[in-house]
Amino acid sequence: MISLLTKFRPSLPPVAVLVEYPSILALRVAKPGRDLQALVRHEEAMTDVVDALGSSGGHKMADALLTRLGRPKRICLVLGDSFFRMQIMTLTDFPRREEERSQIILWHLRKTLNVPVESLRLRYEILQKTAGSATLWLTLCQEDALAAVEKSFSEAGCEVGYVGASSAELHNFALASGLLPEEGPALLLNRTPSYLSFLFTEGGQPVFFRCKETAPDELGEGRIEQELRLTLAYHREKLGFGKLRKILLRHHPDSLRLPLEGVVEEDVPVETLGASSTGAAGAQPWGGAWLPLVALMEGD
Amino acid sequence: MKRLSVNLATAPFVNRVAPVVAISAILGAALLLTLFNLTSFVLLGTEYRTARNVLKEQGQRLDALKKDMAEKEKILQSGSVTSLSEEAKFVARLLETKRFSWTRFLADVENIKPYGVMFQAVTPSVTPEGAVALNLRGQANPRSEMLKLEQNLFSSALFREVQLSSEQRQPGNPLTDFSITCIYLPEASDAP
Repeated sequence: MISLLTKFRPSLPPVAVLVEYPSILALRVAKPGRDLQALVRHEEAMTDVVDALGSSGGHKMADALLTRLGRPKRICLVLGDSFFRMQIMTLTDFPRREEERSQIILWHLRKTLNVPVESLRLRYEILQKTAGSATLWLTLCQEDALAAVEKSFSEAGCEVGYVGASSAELHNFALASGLLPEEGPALLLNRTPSYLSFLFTEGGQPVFFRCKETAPDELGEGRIEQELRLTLAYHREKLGFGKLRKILLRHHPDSLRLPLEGVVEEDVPVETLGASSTGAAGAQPWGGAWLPLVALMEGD
Repeated sequence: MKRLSVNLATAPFVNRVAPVVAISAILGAALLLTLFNLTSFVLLGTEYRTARNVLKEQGQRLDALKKDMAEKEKILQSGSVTSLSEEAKFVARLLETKRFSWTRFLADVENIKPYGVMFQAVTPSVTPEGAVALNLRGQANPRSEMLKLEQNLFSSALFREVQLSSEQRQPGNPLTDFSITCIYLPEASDAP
């Protein structure tokens, strides 16, 4: 019964929290959907969110956050990409039974991951399925770490029923806003002080994802530029995709910049997400930092 | 183009609208049917009780009739009823005999009897069909008087099936003995 109900799009609560270095962003809206009307926008600095939430002080931190949000009973949680491992996997002979599917996916992951796969929480989504193969979007995270975060909120009397990744929400936002080209390759760049994510799409569908962790002040602008060049070259030459038709860029915080000049061709349009997204009429712009939460709340 | 909807929560939110709508529809239908049943029960209950009482009374009456019929059969199968039946038949025959009126018969015979005919015996009997059969025995002088009597009987509507049974004349005696049988219909009209 539960598995059947998960086929439908869930009815999300109007409260969501984005835990993404260097800040925690919490949003409460009047009602999820188009033209969001924010009731509470709370932002506070964070040093190491996962450790804080997972430790004994996590309960207090979650409790204080929930108090600012009006003590909701249910919330959605969006975490930074570095908390997860996301990748696209193509499998032949995709089985029907769920158990067999998980076993095959884990068998493939064992070959590439250097951590025990039994300690991971795995979720997947079928991007494309043909008679002979299936292309999956995999998302993994450390079971203990996520369980500790969920426990912190549950001890504060709140149920976490949605946990998503920042770039996945940005992709949904770009899709819903019609920002991704319907044909040809495009790139969604998600830049925060702690990581740089690349989500390449082809006709709007993800084809390659990479998340490069960048500890604050560790990578200089030159190193970032090098990562950009390498990843773009991999996409073009190894994966065989053509010239990018569009680059979507999200900064968090908004002051963070990416050295794209000289890395991509000049005729490739670069659009910064969140610059013009305002939600309800007359409201102030959300800005790039809030976009994952806005994408989640707006839905389709 | 498909959105990414991977959810890593331990207990993911589910869409409660679909099951709530389904359960509400089922409960609503059950409630409506229950109300319909209750209304039907209340409205039809009186009629049901009346019909049940009628059936009960009819059943009791049927039982009484069956009991009475059994008793009657028992009486009919006893010997007294057989003798009673025979007696009833005898009385019926007697009554049929009693229907014969001699006064009227003699008045009718007077109309058809010629002067030279003398009746010695008139014997009536009732046939199984209920008609009165007559046997007329007498003497005629001369013989033509007997023929005249026969002719009168033929022409009268009160007599049918006239038949001369016997005719005898002794030598040296002018009297002719005869015997005539016929059916007498006292109710018939003698008008021409």
